[in-house]
Amino acid sequence: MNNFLQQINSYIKEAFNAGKYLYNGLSVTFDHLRRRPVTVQYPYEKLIPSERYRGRIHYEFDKCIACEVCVRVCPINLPVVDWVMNKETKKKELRNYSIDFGVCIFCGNCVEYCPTNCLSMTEEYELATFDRHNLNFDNVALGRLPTNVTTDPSVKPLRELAYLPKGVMDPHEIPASDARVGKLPEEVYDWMRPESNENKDKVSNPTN
Amino acid sequence: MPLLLTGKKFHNDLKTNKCLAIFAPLEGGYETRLLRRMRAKGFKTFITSARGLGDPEVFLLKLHGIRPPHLGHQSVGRNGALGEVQQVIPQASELFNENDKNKLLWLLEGQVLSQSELESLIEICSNDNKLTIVIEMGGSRKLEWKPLSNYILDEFES
Ligand code: SF4
Ligand code: SF4
Repeated sequence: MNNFLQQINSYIKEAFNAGKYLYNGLSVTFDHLRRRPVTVQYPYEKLIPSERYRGRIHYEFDKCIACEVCVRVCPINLPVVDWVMNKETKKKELRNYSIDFGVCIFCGNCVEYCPTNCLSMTEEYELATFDRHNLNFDNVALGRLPTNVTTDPSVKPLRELAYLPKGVMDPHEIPASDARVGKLPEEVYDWMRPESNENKDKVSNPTN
Repeated sequence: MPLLLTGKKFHNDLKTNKCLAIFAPLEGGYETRLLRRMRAKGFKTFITSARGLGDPEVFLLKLHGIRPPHLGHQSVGRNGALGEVQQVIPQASELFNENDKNKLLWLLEGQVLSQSELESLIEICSNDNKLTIVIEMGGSRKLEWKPLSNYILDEFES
């Protein structure tokens, strides 16, 4: 009799534990039931890259002085600056400039060091081609304005995590008017700008 | 998804306008379908992306020089920066193997091209009466197209 009761007891315990484990396991699932996935559904939704995103390089032919600084600072000597010396004027004549984005590592050295600022990083990140040779952009292709994700009306642009309001993790359904966490450079400037002479002293000499 | 698309209207529009701007659902798949239908109607087809083209006319249809990157550190001097200029065949050259066929050149991501480059594409088509061009100018809910010249008018000159 005792043995039989013990068996019932352990059976009930096991059943109870099984239920508990089931609950523990599924509680995570149920917890997420009412949450929308934060996944960006790529061709329909695209993330807006941050301001300092290093995408495809933009190049302005007219500003380039063919100094080849970009070649020297590039880890792999990648930019090809095709110039000839004009004997009469003793000046370099730039004929062509090209960067192969199949090889570029988007380190931004060339952009950083170009003395005339004719190179810049853009927010263009969709660089898929049918053939890797099409990634060799010449000065015409490099000089095109970058595409961005906000121009196509059928694409929903989404803000990156760093640009969401404080505490928000999901970029969907956030109104555009919600300010991001932290100050924009203009706001920092407004905040720093001294209003009167009195404040000016304070800013320049914060120990006072 | 335009699965049951016969491509008849598309074919007619392509014949009359020669240069179409197409707007297609973002998931894709329509272009290969239309290309297949056009091949069945006797077109020779070629698909590529407009991104990364230099001067579109030269890169697509003419012999042009490219400057391949020189891989690995080499001397930094006159020869370091400029390797060699290689003359390469036009990207759309396989369209021109059989001259008697109608040709369809399909360009993806036409958004990168400027107004004058799009106009040069129309020019190319009017010079070669066998060549037609379809250029994808953006996404849309359903597949639609219009003559490229109308698109240029709507987009740039309003
Ligand atoms: S560093 Fe700038 S100016 Fe000099 S060759 Fe390169 S792109 Fe031209
Ligand atoms: S981003 Fe870096 S790797 Fe690319 S061309 Fe410039 S320096 Fe070279």
